[in-house]
Amino acid sequence: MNTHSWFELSLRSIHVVMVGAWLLFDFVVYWLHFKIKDAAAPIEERLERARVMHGIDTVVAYLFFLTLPVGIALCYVTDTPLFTTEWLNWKHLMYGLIVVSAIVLVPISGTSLRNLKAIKAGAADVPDLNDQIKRDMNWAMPWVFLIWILIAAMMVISVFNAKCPHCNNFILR
Amino acid sequence: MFMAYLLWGFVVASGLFMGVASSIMLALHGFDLLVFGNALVYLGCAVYGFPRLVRLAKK
Repeated sequence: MNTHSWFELSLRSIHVVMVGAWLLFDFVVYWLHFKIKDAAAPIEERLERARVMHGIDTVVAYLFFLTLPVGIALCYVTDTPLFTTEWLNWKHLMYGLIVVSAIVLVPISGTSLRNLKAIKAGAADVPDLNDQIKRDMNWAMPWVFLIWILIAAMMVISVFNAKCPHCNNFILR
Repeated sequence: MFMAYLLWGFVVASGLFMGVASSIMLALHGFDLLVFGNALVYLGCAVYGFPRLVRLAKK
């Protein structure tokens, strides 16, 4: 195996691990959100989970940002110019839709941590703050599910278009 | 604040890069619905994100 092949394999591995980690961390955030929006749960527990969720969300954001440049680098290394292959066009369109979903989710991204800190500090309008957390989180769910579906679809497309680097045949079809 | 810069910077930069790349492909190889969809989504992101990035930088 020559240097170019090693570089290509490394890029592919990084790309796959990043997307896998992105999806996995998204599931963890989803699991954490149930207790955070539960107004009956103790405030300390909710605040701690919100802090953890915020930290994981930051990692997810970095993975999301880096997936595109790594993917573009992979296109150049494999001599596949952008927008010349139908399956890659589909993947790029799906990634674009994920960018749109991220734009939709930005305004509500810090609500839970901000409101829970306010509740802990003794804010008077606790029911309103709790309602806002629940409303924002429930409103975000369809977009989160859309992101998951798009990532899963991108993974399936990639798997069925993966080629053997030596014989150049499709591995799974 | 750093994350806000990063997010809107990414939206604008990736939107411009991918949007321009898909537009060039459309100009060179003729109309393709899928490539046009890409151009629409990415350039749309760049156009939407640019004023927000400028507003953030002016703060």
